[in-house]
Parts: sequence; C-alpha cells; structure tokens
Amino acid sequence: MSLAADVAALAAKDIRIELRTRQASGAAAALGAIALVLVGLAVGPDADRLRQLAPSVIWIALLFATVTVADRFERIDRADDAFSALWLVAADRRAIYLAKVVSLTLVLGLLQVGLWLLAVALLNLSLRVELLALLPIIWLTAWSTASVGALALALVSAAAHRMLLLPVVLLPLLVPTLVAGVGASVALLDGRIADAAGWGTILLIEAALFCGLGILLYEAAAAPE
Amino acid sequence: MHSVSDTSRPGIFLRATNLTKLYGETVALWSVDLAARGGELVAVLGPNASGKTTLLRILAGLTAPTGGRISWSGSGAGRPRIAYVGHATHLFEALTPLENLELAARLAGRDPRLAVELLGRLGIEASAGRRCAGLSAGTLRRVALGRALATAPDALILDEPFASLDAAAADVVVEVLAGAGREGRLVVVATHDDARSRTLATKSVWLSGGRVAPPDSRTTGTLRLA
Repeated sequence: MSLAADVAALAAKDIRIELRTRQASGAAAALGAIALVLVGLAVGPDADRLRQLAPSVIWIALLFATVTVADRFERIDRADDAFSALWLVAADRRAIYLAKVVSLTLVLGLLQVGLWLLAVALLNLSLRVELLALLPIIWLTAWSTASVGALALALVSAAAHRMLLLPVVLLPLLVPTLVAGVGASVALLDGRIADAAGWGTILLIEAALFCGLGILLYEAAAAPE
Repeated sequence: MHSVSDTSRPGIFLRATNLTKLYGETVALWSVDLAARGGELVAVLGPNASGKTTLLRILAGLTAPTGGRISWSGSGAGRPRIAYVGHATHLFEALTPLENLELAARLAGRDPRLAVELLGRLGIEASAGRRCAGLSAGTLRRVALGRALATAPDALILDEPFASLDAAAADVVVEVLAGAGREGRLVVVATHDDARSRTLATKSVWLSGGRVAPPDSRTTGTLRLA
C-alpha cells in the first residue's frame, strides 16, 4: 500500500470517528464561540473597535481551539492503546503523522470558517468580496497549525501530564502562524490585497517548513518507550 | 476466496539473546534467551509480575530492552510484520469491529474484504456492525485478535488471549491460533491457562522474577499443535 493510500485510510478513520462523536469539533467550536461572545460583551457596541479586534480575537480563539482539537484527536489513538497497533502495522510510519495533519487541517479549517461567519454576526464585520480571499489564508493557517500540532502531540504523547504539556509545547511554536494569520486577515479586511498575499506567502513557507520537519522527526518523536 | 494466509512470509525466525529490562533498580526481565520460528506456538508462562508482558512488548518492538538483542530473519525486505494484542484491545471504540479490521487490513496492504471472513472464523460476525464501545469484553478480545490477524502478521504476539472469554469462545481462539501456526506464523502467547497452553504450545518458556526458570511440573514437555 502506498504512503498516500495509508494517509487516506488513516485520515478517513479520524474524520469518521469525529463525525460520529463530534468531540473535537464540538468542544473547539464552543470554545471559539464563547471567546467571540465574551469579546463582544466586553468591548460593547463600538463597531470600529470590534472590527479592529476581530482578526486577533479569532486567531487567539483558534489557537486555544487547536489545543482542544489536537488533544481530542490524540485521545482517539491513545484510548485502549490503539496507537500501538497502528505503529506496528503501518509500513511507513510517516503516514500516521501525515494523516493526523490532514484530519486536523480539515477540522481546523472548517472551524475557522465557522468562527469568521460568527464574527460577521457578533463583531459587526461586513462581508465583502475581499473576504473570499480569506479562504486560502484559512486553509494555509489550518495546514500550518495542524503540522505543528501533530508533531507536538507526538513529542508529548508519552508524558504523564500530556494535557498540561501540550499547550506549553504547542502555543510557542504557533506564534509565527499567529502573526502571519493576523497580518493576512487584517490586510484583507483593510482591502490591502498585495499585503495579504505577502503574508499568505509567509504562511505557505511556514506550513511547508513545519510539515517537512514533522515528516522528518515524527518517527523518532512518537516511538513507544 | 481470499485466504488469511495469502501474504504470509514463511520462514520467519526469531532469536532473542540476553534480553534485560530494568525499571530503575527493578528487574522486570533478566537475561532471557528465546529462539523460535514460523509455525511454532510459544507459551510464555509464569506467575503475576514474572515479566511475561515485558517480554512480549519487547518482542513486539513496543518496549526497548535495557540490554540484549532481538533479530528477526526470513521476513524478506523490511521489518517483520508483527501483530500484538496486549491487555488493551488496540481498537478504535467509535468504529465497528468490521471497520477496525478493514482499516488494519488496508494498512497491511491486504484486501479489506478479508475482515468479514475473519469475523466469521472468530464467531463474532453478528457484532460486525456495532460500535466497539458497546461490545462485551469477551467479544472485544476476539475482535482484537481478528484485527491482529487481518494484518497477516509474520509473528502474532498475544498477552492473555483467553482472558474474559467463556469456554466456547476460548476454544474458538485456540483453533484460530492453531490455524495461524499452520499457516506458518510464529505465535507467542502469555497465559495463565495451563490447559489451553498444553493443547496449543509447541514450546514453553517459564518466567519467574523476570528470569527464565526451570519449568515446573505443570509446564514440562514439548507440546504439539492441536
């Protein structure tokens, strides 16, 4: 079986389980929505200020939602030690990492779309044609975040206090993605398409770099004991 | 008709030398040697905390030994295909038994339709479409064995495969393991079930305190496939 086929089979497993349980997406969506509502309440009916704050709030909500989604996905594999069976059967163990990147990217991308739509309603953002350009930024950010997240999960998976360690390892690694994501979305909301494209290029480089690092390091990071 | 043995690699040979595992100053395993080949069924026997699980996890490659060496030969290119079922089931509980077996078969490069045949052999086809989370412990043990077999392993390593099983189900598992041996797979089983290990095993290893001990009266003799 080829690497691509293994990745597809494993990612399909993650998505199928998520569709059945909705544990990761449900918890993350609730977390993101609460963050947006709280900011809306705290700032009050100041449309300009809400619009200025929206990108930062969305990306910060996304970062914390990433921790939740990543942890839930890892629990799927670690529950009843299903991971050991995957580890032994996978002909190319990079498939386990890449599948996690694919499934995390899908969930985090859809989560971002939902957060932006919610922000339109709650934070008084106006939907313009330029916002369509957000879609590639959303997916690039999701890919970058997922690449870091899957590697961070492997690094902390054997730790006794994994849920405490995960944000400590993951969030600092996500700072470049946060900065580029906020930069791109602010530029788009201001109608500065060229600037947004520049940030998008940075995001693409970050995502490719993190994914490449993950492919190289995963087997050593995730090896049992 | 698909066969569970259609991608097996005959001639697998395991040689473990001087295996030692320490957890701090606690000796879990001390200087254990073991040699076995495909077609053999090795029973690892001993009281609780004698090192059986540690030995099996080391053989499976899931625990690194502190010292000693394991070599596999005769498995062709790449690492040998090893399937392990420990105290956990290693199943995804939100998936059905059929989906778990199909996934394992796909990852092993085998036809996922074999999953149906395997579930039938294990007598659990009626549970094929139910989520694992809702199944009994005994059924899950058999699903776990099916998942392991779905990968067409060169070596099948099982920790207490008869736990949670009633007599009829345990007899089915004995027959399936004997079949795996006839197909040329190396089967290593840790068990407290002396009667079934007598029926099944071609070779026995008795552990006590992490060391290979002389077989006691219950485990002497070389036993053949049923």
